[in-house]
Amino acid sequence: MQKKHKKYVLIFLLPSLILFVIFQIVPLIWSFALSFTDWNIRTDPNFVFVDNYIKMFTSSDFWSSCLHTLQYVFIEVPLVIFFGMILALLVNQKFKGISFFRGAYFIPVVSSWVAVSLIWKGLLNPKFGMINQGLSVLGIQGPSWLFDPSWAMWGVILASTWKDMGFAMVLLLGGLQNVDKQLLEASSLDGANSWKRFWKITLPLISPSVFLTSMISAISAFQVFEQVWVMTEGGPAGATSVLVEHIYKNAFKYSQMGYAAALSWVLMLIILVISLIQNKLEKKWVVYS
Amino acid sequence: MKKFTKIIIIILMISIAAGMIFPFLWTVSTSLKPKKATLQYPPELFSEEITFENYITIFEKYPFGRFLFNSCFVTLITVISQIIICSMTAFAFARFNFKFKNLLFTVFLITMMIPFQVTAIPLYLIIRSFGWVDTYLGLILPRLFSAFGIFLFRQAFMSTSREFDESALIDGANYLQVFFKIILPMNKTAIATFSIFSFMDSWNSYIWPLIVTTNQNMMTLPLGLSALQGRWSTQWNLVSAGAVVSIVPILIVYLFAQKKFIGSMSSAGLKG
Amino acid sequence: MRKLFTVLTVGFLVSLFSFAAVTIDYMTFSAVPSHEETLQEIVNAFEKENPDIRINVIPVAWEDYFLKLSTMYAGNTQPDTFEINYENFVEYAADGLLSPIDDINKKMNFSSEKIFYDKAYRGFSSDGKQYGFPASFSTVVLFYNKDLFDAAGVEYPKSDWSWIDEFEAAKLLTDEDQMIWGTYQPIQFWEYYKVLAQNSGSMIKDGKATINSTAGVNALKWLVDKIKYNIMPSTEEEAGLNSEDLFVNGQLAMVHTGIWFFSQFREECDFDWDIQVEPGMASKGAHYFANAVVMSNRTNNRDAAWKWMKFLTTSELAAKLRFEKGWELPAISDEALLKPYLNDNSLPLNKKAIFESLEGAAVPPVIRGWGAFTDVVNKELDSVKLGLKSAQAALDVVAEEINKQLK
Repeated sequence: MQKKHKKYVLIFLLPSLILFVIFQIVPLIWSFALSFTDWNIRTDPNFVFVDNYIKMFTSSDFWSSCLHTLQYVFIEVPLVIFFGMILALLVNQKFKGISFFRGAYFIPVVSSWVAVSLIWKGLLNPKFGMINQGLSVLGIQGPSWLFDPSWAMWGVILASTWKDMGFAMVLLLGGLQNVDKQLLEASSLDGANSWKRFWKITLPLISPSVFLTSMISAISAFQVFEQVWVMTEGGPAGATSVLVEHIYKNAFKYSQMGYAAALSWVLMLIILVISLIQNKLEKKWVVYS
Repeated sequence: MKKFTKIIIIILMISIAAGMIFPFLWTVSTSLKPKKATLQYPPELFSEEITFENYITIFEKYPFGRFLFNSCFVTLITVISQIIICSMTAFAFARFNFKFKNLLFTVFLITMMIPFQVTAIPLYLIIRSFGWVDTYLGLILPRLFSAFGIFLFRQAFMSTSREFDESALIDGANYLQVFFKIILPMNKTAIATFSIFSFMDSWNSYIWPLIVTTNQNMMTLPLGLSALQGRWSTQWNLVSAGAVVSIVPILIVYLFAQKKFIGSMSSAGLKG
Repeated sequence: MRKLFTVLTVGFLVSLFSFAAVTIDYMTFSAVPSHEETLQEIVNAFEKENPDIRINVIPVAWEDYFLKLSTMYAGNTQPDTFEINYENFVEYAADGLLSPIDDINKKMNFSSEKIFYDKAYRGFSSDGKQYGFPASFSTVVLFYNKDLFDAAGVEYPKSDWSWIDEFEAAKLLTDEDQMIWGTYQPIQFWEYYKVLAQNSGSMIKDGKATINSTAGVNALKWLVDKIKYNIMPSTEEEAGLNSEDLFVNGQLAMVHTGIWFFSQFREECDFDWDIQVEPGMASKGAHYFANAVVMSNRTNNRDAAWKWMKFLTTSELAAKLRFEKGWELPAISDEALLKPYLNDNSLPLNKKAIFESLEGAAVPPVIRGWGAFTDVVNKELDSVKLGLKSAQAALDVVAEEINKQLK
């Protein structure tokens, strides 16, 4: 029995393992080695020891990109999960035409960031954009959004939340759909109202999905890039510069591959730490059947 | 009272839907405008002239047809391969116990945290040494490993009761049969969910196709969209047309997938 | 039997032919996206004249161009010939990635005198070796909307205008209610080093940064104050449009932008317009953007590559097409070719202003780490524009950065 067992483990694991080693491990190690050089892609690399790391930790640009990234993660992710949950609950109903809503709420997720950033740049336009026009109807003067260093990140977060909440919705919906209807009905007969029902029964039951969603969202939020790049390019005056944008600029604009490799390794460590923390929390909060 | 709540909910859902759809409508309307109309401020939803010339332009002046084909081909192969490979791997994690299992899983997970930029250049050099630059192999293979897929399927399989496996094994089936005939069909939701994300990720992939292709005939849609932006100015009417061409296929896939699988789930009583 | 023999012979000759045909890659950014057809015409003409050489065109958008090029070098798939701009040329030449062409020039009895603008030609040599041929050049001039000037009763800009003159005229031409502004000049690195030259300032002198001198500070103030005095739209007022679109829309009476916009303005402006040399202050200054065609250091067919490079940059057809389609300007000095261009009726009429500008051409001092440096400068300029820093403070930061690089 043991022998048979082993053979199957190998069969099931092999494809991923091969791909993993060739296309993940090898480049990873290579790039780790690179982080100790000054390679500019075109010519041969020179060993520079820990110069790149020293440069990084004494660079104010690096620290501000860290700060902005954290700002983004700790605001956008909770927002996305919150709104995603609302959407998931809304589309978990059964009536004719529900697929229309499921489709509609996912359209932003599916669209390309080029198209979406163009739209949001328009929506956030301080003079003609609908956001500020709507605010002025309420008697509030809207800020300059993407042109104001103190508001630009909020503009990016707004657009990202709008685009990502459908993503969270799909993941959470999967969980909701697995909830046994009988359990829910039993509890409503017991007299529990819908709010209590949600907190005490539904939420624990879908906690695996919530965990999965927050894990994925956090990891992807740490790597936020395209929308920042397309909407503000890290501006104005560096107000929206985030880690991956910083890495990208150094790798592909300035051809500083060694430095960029060092930066990405540090980013990876940060994400690792956060994920370990989340993992610890999983053991506390998630309920598996 | 109940009917009132229901109406409020419907209104809420419709307004949210409008908020989601509107930008898409906007892109479509811009794609139907001649260039001059796109410069109007404050912007109008529908200009007086409606024209399809932007679509004609992108297919004639730029090989958008070729881009479309490449994106479709690469994405299709990628999605199918990923579903099979990731679910198989997840099965091993969910059902077997083996040495270093947890370590391996954690290591796989860590790869999700690696920004692609870090491995992109060494990856290119590896592909180049295989002679796979400007080939479909080069476009597809390096992107096949998906820790996300493994994660998702493992989660789903762990929630699938072992009783099914066990009864089949007792009946003399081997693990492969259990996998293909029982576990996979029972997890259609997971397959559907994953295929949506896998499709999207592959369809919108930008940096990798950029690096690994030099021949315009091998490029994918995102590169095509980027090609519409020159050094000095962007033609938004063309970009919008290109954006519409890029969005429609994904939308179709999504609507198809979610209607078929997400939704009424056969509740085998042992679940939950 | 005879037929078979013919077929075989033809087949043999054809395969011999294609076997003997050499393929030369040519990578370009300036042809993207509007001039790929123009380039193809030039390629076709070249291939006709040189049936044993085939050109493989690789068009890449500007944003991705140097990333692509770098990766190709890293993977040893670099193109035989490619287009490069001045700033990147300095770095690529220093890295030893280009092949000097002096030996082939000699072999082919080629002399650049009488063919290229000397300045353009010299620009692409390094350490006494010539690396390529200048393919095109362009510059920034002052465009103005004649209709708006007429309506406000203001005199057209003259070639000896100073910043003050532009300022005064702009004040008269601005009508905020109509959303019309007098002028527009981008606040970014390339504009800055040019106005620095116009104010007789410099970035580096005698091995030290001099960018934060009084001349430098005043030059920056000139750029930024236009918004302050309302003669130029602020970023919010631009409402997401770029300055060229605003000009086409009739919202800017004057705009500082490049001559590569000729064809677009010809197509889209429904008013009369012309160009003038940019106003200076303590002296005149103008941009000199040049692109060249260079040869990689690892190409196998240097002679064939050279032939293509020469054809692209010096043939009459290429020059004619560039003029016709408004695809930048050839860097050739042949008066005979230039004359019809200067005198034709296409807008702008005052084309000689382009060449007048070049007399004050300022080339940026290219230092190592050029890309990162321009970003630092742009960030500081942004801070001043947003009112976060004073011009002096911002330029002090830049000076520090320059001195760091020079060490």
